[in-house]
Amino acid sequence: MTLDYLAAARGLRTQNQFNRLHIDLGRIITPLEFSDLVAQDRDGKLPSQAGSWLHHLQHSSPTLANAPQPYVATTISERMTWYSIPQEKRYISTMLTQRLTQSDSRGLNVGIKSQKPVLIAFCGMANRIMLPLPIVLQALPAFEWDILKITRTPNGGYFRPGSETKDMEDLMIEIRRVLDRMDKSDITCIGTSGGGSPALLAALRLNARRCISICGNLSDACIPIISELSGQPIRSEDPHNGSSPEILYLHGEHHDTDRKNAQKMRSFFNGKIMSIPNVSGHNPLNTILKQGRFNSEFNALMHGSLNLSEKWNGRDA
Amino acid sequence: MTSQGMELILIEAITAGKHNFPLNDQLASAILQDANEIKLSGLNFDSLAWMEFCISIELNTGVELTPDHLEKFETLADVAAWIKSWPES
Repeated sequence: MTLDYLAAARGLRTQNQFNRLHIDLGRIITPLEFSDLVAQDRDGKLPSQAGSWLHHLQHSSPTLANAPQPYVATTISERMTWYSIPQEKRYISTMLTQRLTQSDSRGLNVGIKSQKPVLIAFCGMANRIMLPLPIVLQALPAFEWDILKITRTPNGGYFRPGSETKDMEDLMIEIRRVLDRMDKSDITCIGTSGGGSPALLAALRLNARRCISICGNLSDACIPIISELSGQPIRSEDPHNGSSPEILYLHGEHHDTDRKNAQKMRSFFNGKIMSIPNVSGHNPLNTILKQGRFNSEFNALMHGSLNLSEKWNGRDA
Repeated sequence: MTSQGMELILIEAITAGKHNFPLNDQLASAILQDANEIKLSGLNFDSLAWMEFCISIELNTGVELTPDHLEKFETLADVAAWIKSWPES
């Protein structure tokens, strides 16, 4: 599993060339691989450009190098990657969970479910969940989550113009197949930016527990397609009002386009809007990260503590 | 390099900054008309987008331009001037 940084960096000379490598690595490496790179850097095996990059990420996520979440990546297809803990550790976790569940049946309320939930993450146009992947994974304890990361098509968005219905349908079938193979039914969806619409569709289609759209958008062309594929008529005058999924739309307070997009999405799907004050950009997660709150609170948000408004300094819009 | 060539390089760099999401026609035609008028701050790029912008410039011209350099620039015309002043190898 050792990442061969030196091979990838061979022949690189300029800062931009290293930036290209680091941007690409930031989309795919796990916390364990990051930690391994830090160890190599500490031993003086990596070029100085690598050190600057690693230090920057370490500063953003202080536990990343010394206590990395033990996710291992498994490539499912070109656009899908599964992140989970290795099999033997999963076995231990399962045993622990079973024991705790048995305790629960004897009257102890330990609040642990027998199946780990899966987080299906639809990346934005930069093929990230708004932040470098190791930072996102580090905020999500590996014993609490399995993660399916989905990226857009290599040369466009999630859906090709004119083929949206087929592309969406194909994507949902592929996701369903993966979830069946992994025996997963407790689902949470997250979509950032351009990943917002597919996350909503997946949440409806897969009967997810909840869906979190962060600065997501919903094009007019998508609405009838989501109606058709979800089997539920979606109309702004009669917004979707089922008991599931629970939906949250998050955006920066001063980003007009994101605010309008959140309001538009809520007009069709109901749910709750959370506006993060004093954020003018399209990346509120980066603001939360810089404030040092990402690691402790992102996981709670994914688990459904949607009443984080006070902690996130957010307010319902 | 022709003026038109420079503008196309800038358009491609901005497109890269937007993660290959096509530019709206208004911005593209504004660049073609007068890069002096396009302020870098008006592009609303984050740090990742600026890195992609610089990488695109270097790939297409061989000119080294980093986000640190961009801090001294105000408009796209400043970027174009930097590219033109780069010594040919």
